[in-house]
Amino acid sequence: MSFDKIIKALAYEIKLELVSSFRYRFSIISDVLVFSILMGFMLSTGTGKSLGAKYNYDNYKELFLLGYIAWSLALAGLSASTDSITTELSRGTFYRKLNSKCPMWVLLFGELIASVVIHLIVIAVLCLLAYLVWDITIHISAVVLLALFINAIGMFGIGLVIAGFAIRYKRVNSLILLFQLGLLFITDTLPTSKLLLSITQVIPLTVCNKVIRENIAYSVTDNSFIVLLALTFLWLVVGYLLLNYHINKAKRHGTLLFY
Amino acid sequence: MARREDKYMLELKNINHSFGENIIINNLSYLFEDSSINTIIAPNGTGKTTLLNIISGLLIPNTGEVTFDAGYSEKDVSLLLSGDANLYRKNTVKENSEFFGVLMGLSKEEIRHNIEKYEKMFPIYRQIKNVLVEKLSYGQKRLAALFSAVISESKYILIDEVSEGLDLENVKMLKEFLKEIKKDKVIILVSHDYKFVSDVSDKVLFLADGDFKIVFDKPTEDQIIAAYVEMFMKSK
Repeated sequence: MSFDKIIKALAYEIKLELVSSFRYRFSIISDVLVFSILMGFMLSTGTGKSLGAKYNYDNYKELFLLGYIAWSLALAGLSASTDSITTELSRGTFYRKLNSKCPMWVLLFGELIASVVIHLIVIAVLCLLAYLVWDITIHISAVVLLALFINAIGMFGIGLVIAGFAIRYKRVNSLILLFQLGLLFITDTLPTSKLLLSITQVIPLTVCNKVIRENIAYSVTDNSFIVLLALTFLWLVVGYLLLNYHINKAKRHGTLLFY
Repeated sequence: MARREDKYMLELKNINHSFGENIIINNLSYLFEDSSINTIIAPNGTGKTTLLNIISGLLIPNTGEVTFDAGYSEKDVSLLLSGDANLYRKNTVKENSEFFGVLMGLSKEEIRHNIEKYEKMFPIYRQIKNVLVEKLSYGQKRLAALFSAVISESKYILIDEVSEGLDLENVKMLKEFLKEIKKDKVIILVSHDYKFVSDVSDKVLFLADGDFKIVFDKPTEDQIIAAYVEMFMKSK
């Protein structure tokens, strides 16, 4: 398949996914509601106060909100691979993509872009709400913006690993939900212990939180940005290899079409 | 069985596949000829769908191989599963058709051309093209999935339970459609509708004990039923 046809397939994947998502309006509305209610609860209860001391920055709410946005984009990245693959397996369209002439990773990347675009709507509402109710203004620099999107791509890579297991071992939706929620507590989105953070440094979201908060608090970017890039690349490679490995195993065991 | 020197587009060579101790496909070899409709007949649970999955590359056999005509591969296979899967439910039939065309490497112009070409033989497309898949009836979903495979110009079209859920009018339309599109393609069907099978098939292959035991050229419905009874029911 030529390069221009691959780009067309990518564009069509994004379009199809966006059109379909907007037809499921309630899904977007429920995302906005769930993320807003959770954020409202946390801001009202003073969650993340210790972030102010940690980064020597007065407005801890801004630091918390940035982490919360990073978390929601991380979920967008995760769901672009895990949810889309498990959904397509159950509705019987995954195998048609697998047999298409367009490389699978291109189509999955299209899902990622569509998922991030939809989550930007959620994030816009969160920022508006935070400004109107809690008077929080977030200062987004180019580095912060870039780190947020790289974080989504890195988490998409982790999602590919989980999707591989989903293809092989089927119903893992509960584990995915648990992992998504768990990310809140282990990646310093909500203040996390040093011990736990030393382990979860391999998760792009953890590093992203460090990058964006340091950038806001000290206006500097240290090696963490390079670490974020490297981790993202690593997870993409590992995720892609593991996904293909599990697909091939499922092809040998005859379980690819049974979901 | 077709001889090696015949024009062919798809060859199965010594295919073996088991699930655990259960041998499903047993040293099966066969040449599917160009421009033909082939129907596989066997009782439920005896390997028909497994064989379709092997041909489409979604199941790797324990041993043996599937070879395609020069320039083609498993990427030129469109497999349509039984049931109402195969399509994106929150998208229209047209959006699905275009998407799967794009995935098969066609340009927008080629897709438009193919839709115009095939919708004349497939009049229901005009009625359902702007309808969301989730709002279609079971039979309409099956037809829409078939249309999306055909307009993407797949060389090999495999359809499980081809006439499942279709009313008489659509069965008639589907028969004519398959006969029209078979040129330069290999179409492999699985069906228990023997009238349908006899009306459209160039070859009917009886799968028993993991191999094609009988191959008929254009059999009548009575011949199919008689062979089925002889092969699968007399021993019980």
